[in-house]
Amino acid sequence: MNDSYQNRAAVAEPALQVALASRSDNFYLDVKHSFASTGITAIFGPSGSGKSTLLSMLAGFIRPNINGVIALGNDYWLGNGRYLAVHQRQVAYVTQQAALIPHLNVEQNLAFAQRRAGPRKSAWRSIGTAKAPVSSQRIARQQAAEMFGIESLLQQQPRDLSGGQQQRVAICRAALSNPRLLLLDEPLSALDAVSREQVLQALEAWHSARATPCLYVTHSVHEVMRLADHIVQMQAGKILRHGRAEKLLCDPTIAIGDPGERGAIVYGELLNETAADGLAEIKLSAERSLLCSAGTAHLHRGQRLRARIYARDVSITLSEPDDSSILNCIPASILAIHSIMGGRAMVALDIKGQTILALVTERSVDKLSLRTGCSVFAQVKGIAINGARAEPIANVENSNEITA
Amino acid sequence: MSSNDWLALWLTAKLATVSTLALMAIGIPLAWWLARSQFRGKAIIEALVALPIVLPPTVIGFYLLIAFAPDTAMAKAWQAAFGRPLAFSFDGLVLGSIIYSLPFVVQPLQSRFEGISRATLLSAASLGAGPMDRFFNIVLPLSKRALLAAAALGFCHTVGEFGIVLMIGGSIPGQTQVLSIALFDHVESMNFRSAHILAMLLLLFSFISLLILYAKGAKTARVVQRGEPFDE
Repeated sequence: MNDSYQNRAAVAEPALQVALASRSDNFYLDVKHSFASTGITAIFGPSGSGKSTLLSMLAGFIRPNINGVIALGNDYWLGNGRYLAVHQRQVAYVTQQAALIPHLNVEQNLAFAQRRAGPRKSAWRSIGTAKAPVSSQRIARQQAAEMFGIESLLQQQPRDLSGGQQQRVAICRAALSNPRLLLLDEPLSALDAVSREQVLQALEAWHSARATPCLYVTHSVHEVMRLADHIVQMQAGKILRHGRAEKLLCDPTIAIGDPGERGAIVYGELLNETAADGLAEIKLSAERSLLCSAGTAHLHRGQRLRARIYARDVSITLSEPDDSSILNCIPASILAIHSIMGGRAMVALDIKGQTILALVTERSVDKLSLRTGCSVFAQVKGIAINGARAEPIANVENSNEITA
Repeated sequence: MSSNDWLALWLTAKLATVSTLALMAIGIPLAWWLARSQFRGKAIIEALVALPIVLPPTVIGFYLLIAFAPDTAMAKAWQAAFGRPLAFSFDGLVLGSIIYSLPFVVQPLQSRFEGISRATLLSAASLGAGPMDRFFNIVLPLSKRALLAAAALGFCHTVGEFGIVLMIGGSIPGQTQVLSIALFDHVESMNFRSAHILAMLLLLFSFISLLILYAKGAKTARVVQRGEPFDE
């Protein structure tokens, strides 16, 4: 079931090799990492941990003053005697400010990026490059505008758009520039909840259609759960740990954001078309499946899905109740129990190869005598799904590395 | 108006046009550099550019007169390059006008350039736009009004120049006798009728120019007065 996804990984860019050391006033950044060549890598950490500085150096806005190497495969942006300016790097950079060009309307802003798109290796190439004729550029523009939900805004001026609309235009414009690397620095932090959701949906749609690697700076666990394939956690200018998002998120010993906001990511395949009562069934493995509300998403049978299960929505029972309103009650075994502040415990549960988290009280742990290795039932109340992107699921099982 | 007065009018228009073109050619890159540079000695350049606003024009004229004397290196180089002397010549007036009107061109441009969002330019760079591309396709189109204001102020200020011309020009008809000088000569020789005509001409020209500039938009006027950034 994974073959089609692995094909995509095969055509992707080489990994981005980064080794940067820089000092300014009382801050020392020291990062050495090989960033994944596909998917969204969330760079997560508290403010002041050096996330944005790192991104600025990758974009070429800041030059590290001690030592630096940035290379995409054999293509050195920095180091090996080379220093490429921002406009030569083929990155597209979006911050919380949309930074649209104020005297151009939305369509002209998009065309500005298209005309400057170099010969690049990402998937946009087939539908829009600098060499493509104007008519095909217009088609590419139209397609991208639809994906980001801005097709009705094309003739408007940036100043007439809301913050969320501007941000969708900015990300669409970045995508159309055909970057080898997309850099997003807290693109949602200046937006209200509704706009945030719109931009998130657009990013999910874009990401599932394209192979362009993306580094996404955020301090929101919610955004990490929505978008991240990989997590790089930073603290005080250094990388604290990194790994696959579902691995790191499901390790209860690791503190990632507020426990109440945290949860697991699971991947599965849609078993049935949405039933008359609006429920969809997701097959996680040969023996495990989950029922969830499909909402308004356009799903089809066999589609790969990514589901978020918040720890607060999962409870644990020792036997299978037959009188509960909770539909999902699945056999699981306890992988780990980790006490956290406030008399609570984060419990990692194995459900045949995938891991979910349950946030319970210490008292419940004692009452049910929960221990590592216990066989229990996980009652799962809420599941949020979105159409999963073309990520090689093989990596989910293969990459067990969590570097501390 | 006498034929000499017509000649003075023509000379004034020519001087202001040539000076304005030169001022824009020098002022635009200088203003951009001043707006973006982190250079420590920048304040010295800014103060030098602004000097003509506060200095009596005769002071500038005095030093230029000394610099233009035929035995200076500058005058010799000019003579060698163009085959004409600098002192009491049209060329000398153009040089004097450039120095005298430079702040009126540089300041509105600099304050506009400083108002252009750095984030806009950085994100355009990340989309593949190089420095020249950004300057010509983003900075200049966003500065249309300030460019107009700078050119108009440079032109009008050159037309209104007197002290420097008096020091370095002499009063050679067709060469260095501009309107303001011709007016001065008329008054000196008690020829008040002609003086009235020239004075009224200059007054109307200046008023109408400023009227057009301010009516073009309160925004332009703001830039000129207080140097506030604005978006067009």
